[in-house]
Amino acid sequence: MKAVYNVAKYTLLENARSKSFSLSVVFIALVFVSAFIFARLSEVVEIRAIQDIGMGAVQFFSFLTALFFAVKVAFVEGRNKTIYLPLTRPVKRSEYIFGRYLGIILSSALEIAAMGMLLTLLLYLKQADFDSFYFLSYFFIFLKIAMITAVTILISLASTSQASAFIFSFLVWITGHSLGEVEFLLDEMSPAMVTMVRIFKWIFPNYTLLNLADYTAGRFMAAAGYLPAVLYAAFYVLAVMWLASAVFEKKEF
Amino acid sequence: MKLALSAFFFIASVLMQEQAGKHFNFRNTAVFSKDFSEVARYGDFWLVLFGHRRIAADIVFIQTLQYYGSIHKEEISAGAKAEPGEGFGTGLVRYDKLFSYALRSVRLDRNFEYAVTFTAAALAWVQKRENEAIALLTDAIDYWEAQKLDTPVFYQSSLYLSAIAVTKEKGIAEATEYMEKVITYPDCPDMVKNILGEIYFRAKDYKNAVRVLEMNLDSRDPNYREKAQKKIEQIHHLLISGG
Repeated sequence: MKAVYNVAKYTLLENARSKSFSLSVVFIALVFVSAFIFARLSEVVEIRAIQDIGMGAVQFFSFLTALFFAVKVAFVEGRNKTIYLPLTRPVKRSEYIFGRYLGIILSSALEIAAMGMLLTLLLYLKQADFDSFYFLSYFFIFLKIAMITAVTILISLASTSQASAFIFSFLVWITGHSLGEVEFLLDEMSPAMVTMVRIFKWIFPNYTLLNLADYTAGRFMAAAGYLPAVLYAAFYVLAVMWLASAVFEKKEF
Repeated sequence: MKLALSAFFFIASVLMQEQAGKHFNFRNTAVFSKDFSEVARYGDFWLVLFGHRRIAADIVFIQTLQYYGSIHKEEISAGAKAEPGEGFGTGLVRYDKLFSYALRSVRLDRNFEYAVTFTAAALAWVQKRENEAIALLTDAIDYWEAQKLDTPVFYQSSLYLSAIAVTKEKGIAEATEYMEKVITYPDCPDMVKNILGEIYFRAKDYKNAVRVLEMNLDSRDPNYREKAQKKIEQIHHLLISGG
């Protein structure tokens, strides 16, 4: 456990020094520009547009940075041989991969919190009303990022190039958002297709359950559904990370 | 061992997913449905598939406002002569696409009630196309009623529907009872307050006209501020001169 903590701490510090965080500057610019652009609209539309674009940007930029860090773990470090150094120490491969993952999602959590605070400040200045769903949306964005980070690490370990790892992770992200959209077609599908869609829903991260940012008015899920949704994300991450750990164990650098 | 742990957590995640799925009580119009594909554009699909439905709906609504705020020469009503600045709110321009813009916006985000009420008000009380306004409100209300919400939450749309139905049957002057309820909502469009003020003015109910128009004195839209200011001044002059 101590080894996992040390690797996570090292990853967090390494990521904090990375230039990838400069994407947050783009976020700041985007949010403030949108605030100026929408100032002529009625208050309702202005606040809604700033919140949506801001939250969308929080999600997109944290997705991009998580993707970059996750691909780096397995692919870039293997290529540059920098992975040898930690693995020659008394650190198990599973501890290394879990530590790396923990470091990345802690970096993402900090990034989401920083961007979220800035957006909240701007909305507060615009006299927006905040409810629990607004703050919960950030947590659900974090859960989505935690899931895609785990999947990207697994994909990177199995892929042969950095580009393919990026492309496959993007496809998983899109598929995860499409699964709920396909559901209504189930009645018109053949039993074989229905089974296939169900299996896809189990294998891919089902973001329909976590996309609270698209339903910030709270009309989304009954209160009893939130805990299972959070547990779903946690269990999914653990399943993917243990699988990644098994793949990493067998990987030759 | 690692694979066994992975399989265990995978099964747990499947069970939790099924459990969470049972508690969904509000869903947006599915991207691959006929309702969505008949109004959506290519870009809308991409934003939805990246998990940004609300942004897509906002963009469409802002496009609606831009469309409704400018003159389109090919849509000027027959016989009408429009000068720049005359288009919005005068009924000179038909704004044929207003209904389809609003439908696109609300089918992207079914929580976007403001897009429904704003456009329905514009269609019914400015463009005099009550049927389109009723069709838009009915599309939204029917969709919401089909959801599994414990309590209905879209009251404003029902009020607008009542007001517009009365307007269609008996004329706009008879709809004031419902419009009075509509303007109590903080997100009521300035356009509706302006129309209600005008109805009271025409009925020579100056007290109520001033009360309603005063709400627009701090409007963000300089046009509505100016209109309210001028109308209130006009009422003062009429009262002083005994008109």
